[in-house]
Amino acid sequence: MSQANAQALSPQSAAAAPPRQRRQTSDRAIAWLFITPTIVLLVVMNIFPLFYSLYLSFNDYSVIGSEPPKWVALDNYEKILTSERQRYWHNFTVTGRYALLSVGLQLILGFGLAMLLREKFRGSGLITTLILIPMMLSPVVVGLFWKLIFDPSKGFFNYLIYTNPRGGAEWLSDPTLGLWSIVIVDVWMWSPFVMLLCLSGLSAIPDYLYEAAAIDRASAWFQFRRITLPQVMPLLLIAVLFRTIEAFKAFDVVMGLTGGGPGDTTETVAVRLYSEAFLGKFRTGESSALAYIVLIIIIAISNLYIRALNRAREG
Amino acid sequence: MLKKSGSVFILVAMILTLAIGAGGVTAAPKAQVTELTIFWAQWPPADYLQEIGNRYEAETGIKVNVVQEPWGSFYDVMAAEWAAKGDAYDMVVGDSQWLGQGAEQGHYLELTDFMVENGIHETVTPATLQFYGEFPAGSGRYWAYPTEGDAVGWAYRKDRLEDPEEMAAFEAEYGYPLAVPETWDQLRDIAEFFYRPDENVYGVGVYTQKDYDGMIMGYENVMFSWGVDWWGEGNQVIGVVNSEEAVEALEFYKELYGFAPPGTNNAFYTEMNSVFVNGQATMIMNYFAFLPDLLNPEVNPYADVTGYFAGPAGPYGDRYTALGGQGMSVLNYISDERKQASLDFIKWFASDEVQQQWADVGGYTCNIAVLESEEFLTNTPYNAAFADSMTFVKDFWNIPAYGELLEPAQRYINGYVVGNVGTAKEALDNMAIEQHEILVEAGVLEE
Amino acid sequence: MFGIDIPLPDFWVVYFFIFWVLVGSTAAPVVFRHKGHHPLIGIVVGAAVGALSGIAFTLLLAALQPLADLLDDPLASILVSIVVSAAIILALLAFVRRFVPESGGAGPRAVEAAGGPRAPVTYSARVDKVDPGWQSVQALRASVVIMLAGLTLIPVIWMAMTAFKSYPDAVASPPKVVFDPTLEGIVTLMTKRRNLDSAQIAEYEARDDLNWADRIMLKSGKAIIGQSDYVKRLRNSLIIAGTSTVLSVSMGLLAAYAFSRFRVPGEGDLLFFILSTRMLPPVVVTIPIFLMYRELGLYDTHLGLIALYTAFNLSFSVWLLKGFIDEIPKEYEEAALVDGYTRLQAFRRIVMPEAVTGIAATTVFCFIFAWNEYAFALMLTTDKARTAPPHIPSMIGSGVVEWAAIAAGSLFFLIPVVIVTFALRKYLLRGVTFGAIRQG
Repeated sequence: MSQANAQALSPQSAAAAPPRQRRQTSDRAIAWLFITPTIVLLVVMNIFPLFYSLYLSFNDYSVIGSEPPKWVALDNYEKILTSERQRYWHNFTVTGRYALLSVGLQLILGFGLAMLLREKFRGSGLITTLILIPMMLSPVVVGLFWKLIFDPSKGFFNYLIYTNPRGGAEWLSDPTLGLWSIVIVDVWMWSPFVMLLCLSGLSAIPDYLYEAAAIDRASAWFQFRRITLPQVMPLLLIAVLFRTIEAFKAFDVVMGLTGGGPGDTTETVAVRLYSEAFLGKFRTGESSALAYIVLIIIIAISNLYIRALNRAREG
Repeated sequence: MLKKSGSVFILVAMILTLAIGAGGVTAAPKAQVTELTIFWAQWPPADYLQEIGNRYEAETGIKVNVVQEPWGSFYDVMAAEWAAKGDAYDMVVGDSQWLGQGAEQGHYLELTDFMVENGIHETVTPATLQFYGEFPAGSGRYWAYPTEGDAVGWAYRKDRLEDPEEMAAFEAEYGYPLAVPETWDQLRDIAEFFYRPDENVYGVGVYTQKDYDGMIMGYENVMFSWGVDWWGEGNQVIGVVNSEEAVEALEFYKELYGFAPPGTNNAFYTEMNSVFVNGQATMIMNYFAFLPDLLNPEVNPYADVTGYFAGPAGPYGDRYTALGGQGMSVLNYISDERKQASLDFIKWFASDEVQQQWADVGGYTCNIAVLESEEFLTNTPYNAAFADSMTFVKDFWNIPAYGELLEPAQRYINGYVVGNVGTAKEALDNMAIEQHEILVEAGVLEE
Repeated sequence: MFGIDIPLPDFWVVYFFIFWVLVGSTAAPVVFRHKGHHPLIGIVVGAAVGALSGIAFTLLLAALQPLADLLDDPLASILVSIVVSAAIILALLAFVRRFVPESGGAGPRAVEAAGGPRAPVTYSARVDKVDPGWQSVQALRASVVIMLAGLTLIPVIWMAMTAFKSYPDAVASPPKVVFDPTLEGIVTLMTKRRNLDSAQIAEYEARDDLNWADRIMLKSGKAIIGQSDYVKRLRNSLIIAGTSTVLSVSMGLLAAYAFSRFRVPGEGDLLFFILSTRMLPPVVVTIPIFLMYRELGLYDTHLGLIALYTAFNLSFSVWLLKGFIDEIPKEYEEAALVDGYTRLQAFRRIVMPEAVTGIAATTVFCFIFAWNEYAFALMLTTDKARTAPPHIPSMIGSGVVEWAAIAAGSLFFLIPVVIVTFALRKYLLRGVTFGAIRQG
């Protein structure tokens, strides 16, 4: 790979050379030296598996079977996209609702927290770190512990929101509340992340904008709408992008909390993917195809966001 | 976006793909075996096995290392290791369902001659040998040494079932005396009787876990007792797993779940114990392997008033309970020296003396001599129920496709019982169709 | 030992009592200082005001209790109580502000500092920022943040409490807030045990070579038979997460610098490609990587996981760091190069110090990812290189989830990340202006 890359690099780099000869060669060598390790590692660890699973997605193959991959062209994709009984569309619906709810709430809460933490006060650094703790926890442990917390009789959650907890909701076993409980945990865990992004966006807003507004006696609402929000917008979009991608990928918390149940009401795409690829099924070919569909969706969403981002930055 | 760089990457990917496809694993044989590695799930019996292994090291100088993997990924890791024909482990204490795959796909070393020559097959009970060691059923070919016997049994609260007031009230309501249930219908009545959410008292805890096989391991007890099997004549499933009796059995199981403590919608052995220990459940089902903690008053405040019984009988006279447990197999991809060393270990481990030690440290031995000893039967309150249960156990498929067969079963049955999806008939019909397809694809069943 | 069934209203009463006292004792001193009194008086008066509101909240909640019982949903009554008691405390504070007498000189000074037409308007001296009303709002804001942080931390605090609970306490129904602390969980975390029958317990109790840990376990009828794998797993986690973080940040820095400063052909494609590797659900790449690792002998090795985590974080760190390096004016280096620095020297002396904020922020994120990664560690290791995340949640005893041990294990596991985050928090706040924001 490194050889091929080097050749791909050199002619064009020469064409784009800065004027001075001595620096040009050393610059090229440095560029080359700096980028190669990264590219090599990424190709071996990321790109190769990417293409290998692409190849597998066109095959009927199980990694634990004794048979070699059998080429079936687009069968796996067809099955996923058309099979009524496999209910793949259901997994996408669940993921969509989950992403919408959790990302939306995270934005509101994260942004709200950032607005509150914006002005420094004594101990605000410590408080910020404390608020960040949930996102530092291992997702499996979070799933496990929240299962205990949500438990209608052993957990404290219902004791905080019902006078008579015994009549309280069964968060994890109720088909409509199941998804909400996952959303609650996700929001708890990742709102701090959105907050962090918003905080850094807020801290980058130049003071003179507010000073000018203050001189003009502009209302707080006007300042918020015309200065704060547009300035933070790009970072909010980044937060949305990152969290949406994660919503499509995260399975450890869901596995720990509900395992996709009750029934399949909380079975997100990532959980489905995991159970197709492992858990005794090992449908490697089909799960690779599903993964590629997910990847295409994610790339499409990212492009939409990036476009929105560019607009936000220009506008 | 990938235009230019794309071709390069594809090329590299393909080269690497070929390299992977073409490569074979060759293990350098070791001359002297100084260490044996046994693979098992992460749970206390594996710790006990390590303790027995330490004694082996003291006797022979060969170190025994028990590697533990969480239950959730136990099968996944083993299957991946098989696929890679890896030699990381010498032996595995594998689930009974794995036998078919291990034997048919050549992952396990056949132990028939070894066991017969050394008379080992006669030291363990026939039922355990059949379920943990033999494949195909009735063939007399053995692939594993029955190591940890297990089945689903029941724990109950004596203080509730033997309370005079409760007994009078129960008899008044149901017309027969309150006692340890002998049939599933009695169990249902007791569960209903003690279902009192206002007092934080519930009837019965049953398995419902969705991830791997929890739901099926619970439902099986009812299903088998209703006279239903996983397969019928010529391995047919349609009309067998979704027969009228099966529908009845599944509806019954859902009814039982209705008397369960809240929060047991994705429950397996740990959840069963916890709803018992915190005083909610009056009765729970659980594998015998997980009952020892209930004896411990520090864990179970009701240890003094906890009783145990073996699975009840169904309405049509059948009585079965779901099998758990594992046998120890030698993996086929290790060098001959290591195979021999592993056989030596099993031979040592299977001796009556070591099996006694195994039982002493907490293992569920399958050794006849130990099991029949009066000492064993009275050693714990549930050993009698255990010995009883082991005479009427049944199991899921153990052919290589068992994992695939399990999945639709888990999905539909959990969906119906916990998720209220459709009717019992619909769930079982759908499950039967999918299992039929899997079996046809696996070549077990003619279209 | 004794379970206290703390029903919901009790919790909220305590919570809001503390809340209002906090609000009062931070907001009132502002007024008092502004009027020239000693702030301590303000704290005392404020606390009293807060306590009054807290009592009002309690009374109100009690008065609305029948309503809540009727609906079996106390949220409405709590909300009403919150709003009313908030109104009370605000009214009281306004009252204090209005009727506390001025005591000389301080007030005018503030007005002066706010600046007449002569003084330039600076941020710190903005009119609105010295206004006591604004400052009180600030105090209120801080109180709200502190109380929200408290609410967020309840699950973590619960986890910390669980680490010291015995098993029946951990799964007690209703959950126990007050309990007999025990070290059982920590001992369980660190050891392997087996159950003893009564004869064996008696035999053990007679022995005098037992240490405190043995004694704790013996109380619950268990004998320690060896050390658990937890310490080993933790060490693996440290080695793997630490090394891969250092590697991914340093390699990412180099690559980001090259992408930022030199014209690399196909740069856009490469960068998108790098990022897209982060979008693929990890579950899928696990199988190819597993096959590859078997082939290369990297399965269950430290090196294998280090390489994998480095690669996964690399995509992230290149993107993040490129944004930071783009920010550093090219002219700095140009000048250094003219002064006779070589590129490498310029990079080390000029670029790296400027990019330190970005490096720190990247480090935190890479470390958190590598430290908590679960799926790969589960599938690509079994024993020698296994990290803690797959190990901790699988600690079950003979049929019970060892909550205390899991909680203790999770807490120990949390400490390094918290330390890293806390140490680098300054950079973190300034530093997460994601690279993508500027390059799109």
